[in-house]
Amino acid sequence: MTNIETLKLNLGPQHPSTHGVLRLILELEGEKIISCKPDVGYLHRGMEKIAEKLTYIQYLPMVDRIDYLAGFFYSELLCENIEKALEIELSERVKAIRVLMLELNRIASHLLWIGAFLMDLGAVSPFFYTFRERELVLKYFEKVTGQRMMNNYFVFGGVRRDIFDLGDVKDFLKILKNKIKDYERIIDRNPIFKQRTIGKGILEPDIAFNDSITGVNLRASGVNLDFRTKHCLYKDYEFNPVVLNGKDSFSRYRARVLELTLSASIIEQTIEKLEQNGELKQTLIKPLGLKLPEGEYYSEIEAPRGLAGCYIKSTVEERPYRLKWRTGSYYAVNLLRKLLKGVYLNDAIAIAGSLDIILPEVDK
Amino acid sequence: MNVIISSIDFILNWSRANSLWPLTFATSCCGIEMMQTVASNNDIARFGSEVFRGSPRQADLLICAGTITHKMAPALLRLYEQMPEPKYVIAMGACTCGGGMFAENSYSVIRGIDKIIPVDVYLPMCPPKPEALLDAIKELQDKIKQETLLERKVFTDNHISGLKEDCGMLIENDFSITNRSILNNKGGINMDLEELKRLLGNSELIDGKVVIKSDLAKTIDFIKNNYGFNILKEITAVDTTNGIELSYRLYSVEDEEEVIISIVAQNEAESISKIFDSAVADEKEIFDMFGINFI
Amino acid sequence: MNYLYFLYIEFLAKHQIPQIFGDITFYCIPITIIFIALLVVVLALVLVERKMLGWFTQRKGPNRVGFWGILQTVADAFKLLCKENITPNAVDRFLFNLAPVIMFTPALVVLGLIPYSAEFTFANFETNSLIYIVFAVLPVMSILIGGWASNNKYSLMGTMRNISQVLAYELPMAFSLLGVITLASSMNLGKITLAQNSANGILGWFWLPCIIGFAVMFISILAELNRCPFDLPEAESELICGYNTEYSGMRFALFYLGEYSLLFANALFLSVLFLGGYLSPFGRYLSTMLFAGQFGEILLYFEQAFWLILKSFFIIFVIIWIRAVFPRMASFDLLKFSWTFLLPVSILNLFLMVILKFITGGVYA
Repeated sequence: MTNIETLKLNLGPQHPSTHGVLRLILELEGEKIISCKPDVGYLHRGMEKIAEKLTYIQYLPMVDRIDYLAGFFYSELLCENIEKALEIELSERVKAIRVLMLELNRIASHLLWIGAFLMDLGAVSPFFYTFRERELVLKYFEKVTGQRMMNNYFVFGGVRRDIFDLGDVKDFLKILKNKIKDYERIIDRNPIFKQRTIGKGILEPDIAFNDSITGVNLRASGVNLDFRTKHCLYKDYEFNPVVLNGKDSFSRYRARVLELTLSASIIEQTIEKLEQNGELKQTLIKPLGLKLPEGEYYSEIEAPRGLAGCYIKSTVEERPYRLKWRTGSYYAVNLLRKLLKGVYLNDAIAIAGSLDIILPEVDK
Repeated sequence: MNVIISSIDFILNWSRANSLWPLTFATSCCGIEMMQTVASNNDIARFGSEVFRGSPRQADLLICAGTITHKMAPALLRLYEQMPEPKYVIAMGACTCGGGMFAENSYSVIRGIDKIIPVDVYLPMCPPKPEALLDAIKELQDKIKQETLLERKVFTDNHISGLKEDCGMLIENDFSITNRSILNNKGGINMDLEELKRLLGNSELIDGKVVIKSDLAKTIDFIKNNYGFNILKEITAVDTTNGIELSYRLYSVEDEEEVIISIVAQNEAESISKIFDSAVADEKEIFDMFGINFI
Repeated sequence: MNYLYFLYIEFLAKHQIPQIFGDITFYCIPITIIFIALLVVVLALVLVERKMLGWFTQRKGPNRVGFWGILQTVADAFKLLCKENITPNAVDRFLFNLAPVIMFTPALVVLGLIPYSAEFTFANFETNSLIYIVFAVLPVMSILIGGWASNNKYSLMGTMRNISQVLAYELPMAFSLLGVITLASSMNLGKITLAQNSANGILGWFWLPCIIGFAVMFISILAELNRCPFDLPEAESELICGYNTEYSGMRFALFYLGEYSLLFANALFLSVLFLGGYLSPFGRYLSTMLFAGQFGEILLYFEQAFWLILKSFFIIFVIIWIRAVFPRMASFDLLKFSWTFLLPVSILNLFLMVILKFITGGVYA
């Protein structure tokens, strides 16, 4: 009998492909992973505890930092909760503006992911190409909200200011549609890319349910579950969620590319609406001394990385008694234990990359 | 003699200033803007800094992009110490300059990385724009061009020794993790409807939540298997006067329905990690934050 | 070469310096030339690569240091030389310091085997090409030593990958070389070059009859050089920096230098074997056409070297282009690709070449 020793490898917290500060404790036999233990918390900033010390309006800017790639979604959740609690109806224009910003943000987030994923696989150029397009979105955000990433644009009962220069968005959508074709040409047809993603990291729907995976990762496993279809903002929009049956890294990639087109089509609908009704009517809530009625409030939305939820328990004070965030990446990290078992190290990087994990969402 | 020394200084500083290879080190938000700086529109390569090295051994510049927490601090210090001299640090973003948004209320954020490592250029803003990072790099280049060999030596000698004394505790922290196994796989439990009645017998319906008193795992297992609630959205823990209230938010994909099951726990609660694998993550978090032991 | 040697000895004899001195110093001259030329070429190569990667991704690339960024890599080299050399505590000190030196030496040796022009080969043996193959694979020894001595898990894994990769791709490379040797009926690189000489110019070179061998050789060379898409040993996103994770400063610079000089050498080798070496693509040399007499003849040597370097830069351009486009291969697929596809194809190619040689007889001889 030979005694096989295994190699313990610490991947992270500083590692080029962990997208931040994730630490994976891997047990390797050669290059084969026997077990994987994710260690999170390297970016734990105590977001939930901070909420208990701040008033709602003070906490609002913090929320963007929970997921810096999709800050709008988390502001939307907090605003939605408060609007629910105070029973405020949003005007059509505010809703349309919010949808526009959310979907632009989703496009920016997915574009970044495509670049970063290809970077994990070792291809340099797509990173630059997708960031080039993402920059256009950020430019528009900066124009409207004054910030590139941490926008703090949604406020309780509306938005900070009316939207303008919709021509920019139209131009961007035109460019994006052409560029998506380019991405398909350089990435989808690449034999090595196909070899490295097709059939790798199979995520069966059962496992996905069991591990609370939502969002694109679940839809790429053939499950039609898009929380946008039920969300109040998206009621008037026509769209079919992207559902692919591949279950592997490749279909997760394809699903995200298709979501770009889907988001673009939603944005086109919002632009129509915004051009129809001209004036911004909103009843903003006075933030000073804002108190929520006693009770528990929950809102949820389909963020780029899966279902995002916000739970608030209020005891009629200026500050929430308890605030909790539900984020998609947290469960994706937990899934790594299963998906990385028995694969080779370089496939493991590809699989972990394909789940679109981002660490501030995990650690909060 | 002075001419020789100053010309050596000039050549060294010229080469150092123009070839700052940054370390691939991004912890949060600012990292994305750092990536944007590398990308086509801003192109950090013009200044010769596009060679991002993964290994600290070959890097000259630590762009500390993003919040540093107490857990990350030892890793940051180690990375800095692994870098060969001469090494430079840009503190990118408000968090690294002085805690930023988290300076007031967060319990886990280091208020400024200059408590751990020496910083050459501070770049506040949350997050800084790519142009600002380029400006910081140029600022650093100017700084490097003006320093002399002796100054550099004095700087490193002084700073490093004091640093180790300050952060002794941090260095001893050896990245060890607590091994707490909450998984004991025994498989599902089979029950019938009468069992459910018995289980939910003394439960109440408060605010749309099913509040139960005991048999948490059995109830959730039953609901999952018989009613198709196959996704555990999350577990929320709230500190109430009676104890810690745990709310399990279950979702059924087929029926598109949600049910919330809640239980009040004191110090211990039943683990449902053998029913939902994702519960492991939530339960660990609740153990860390609220001290509930899941068994 | 001999001509130059006698000129030198005569020159020394005039000044009454003993011949033994000439014998020793004469060989220092080419080594110095190679060394300096190599440094310049490597610095230029790195700059060109960074510039081109910039252009491929709509960037400008380095453009602040010197005119057009031309001094960028010079600054990098200076900086690396003057950086602190860290020897970590846990390493095997002797081997750790030895590895970078071994990396660089074979690259120097193989450059001496290439016929730069008709009269300009530093070491002209009958079995030049075989010696080349043997020495070109030596850097793997240095990677093995360095990776092992580093006492770092990432280095170790990078080393393991590199060795399996080089083992797998060495055989297809050797077999496609055999195809060329069969066509040229010689193992000497100079004679291989001359065998491609014809009035047809570019059409008479070996890439045309031996196109399969060319492709196989090109892929194998990519793998041996650890270039994308075979850059597994130093996969940035997986193994940090692979085998040189623990190396810093000067030692890292030596690894870098070794890698790029091997890239240059292999590009030269490839253009000698398949792209007609120093031959002009038009079948006739420009310098003899333009300038009659002795000046034209002297210029001819430079023109030949120019063609060779131009061809090798074309190959390097393609290699960089591939880096800009392709992702990295998976380690298992990479080995499978070599053993199950490249090796049989290269053997098949050898058979084809033998048949071709048998049929055409006199043409390729």
